[in-house]
Amino acid sequence: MMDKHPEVDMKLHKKISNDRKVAMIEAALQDLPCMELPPYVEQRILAAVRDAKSVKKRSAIRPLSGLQWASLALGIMIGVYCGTMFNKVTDSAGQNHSESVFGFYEVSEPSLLDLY
Amino acid sequence: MERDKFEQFLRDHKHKIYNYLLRFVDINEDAQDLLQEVFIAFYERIEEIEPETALAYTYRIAHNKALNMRKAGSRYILKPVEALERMPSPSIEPDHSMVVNKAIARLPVKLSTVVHLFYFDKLSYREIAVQLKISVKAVDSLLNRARRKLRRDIVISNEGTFGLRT
Repeated sequence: MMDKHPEVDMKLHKKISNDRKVAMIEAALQDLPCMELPPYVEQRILAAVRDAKSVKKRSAIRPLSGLQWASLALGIMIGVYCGTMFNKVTDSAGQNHSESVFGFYEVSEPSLLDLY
Repeated sequence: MERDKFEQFLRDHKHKIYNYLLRFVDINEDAQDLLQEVFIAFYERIEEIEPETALAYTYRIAHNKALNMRKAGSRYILKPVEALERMPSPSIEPDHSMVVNKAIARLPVKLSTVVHLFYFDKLSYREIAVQLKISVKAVDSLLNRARRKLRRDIVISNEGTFGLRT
């Protein structure tokens, strides 16, 4: 039989080998061993997470104060600018002409002041 | 995920992640160090992580950290007696699980995660689909791909000894 159909027999043999391989690998996958984690490792992780938490809190404060400093600087600059503009406006208002019943005079002219 | 859920998550899944890491490293202490790094990285992003996908997310972190350590090399040196203890005893059958573990570690992250979730965590296809945010059909496809790759990488002799294709 084998001599009459050698190709068929070879294919069948290969199929059986592959099937056996598949079954063996599947069995090994189903039977993967489980290693126990030592209990102190969990405590170590929790301690490390607590440390990471406090480092995060401390580093969160620095950017906030940087933002605060920037806001303060901006506020001061705006205040100085507004103050300067206000002074300019009031100065030019002070230098402006005054009105009287006789007309519109330049008060700064000394001759007019002498008259009054 | 809320921060106060972290401790419970750690207790529920530390063994799974530890065993996943052991597929990549030979030394238990390396796996323990990696486990710590994995959970710290997890905690730092905990508010962005959805509870339904937290386990798969942790496996991804573990996979990346393990690969980085493999490139950098171990921080520990095995003492001779420890090395002897790790060798399989000649009186028992060859350790197929060691070879299978190493073959799983060679898989791409998504395939190794699916294999671990199915065979080690014993999750159903539906549960894995929820974890990875994919369809059940996609889980089936990934598992079949993983099995094909494992069959290619694992060599079995006529005597039934497992080996890894180089």
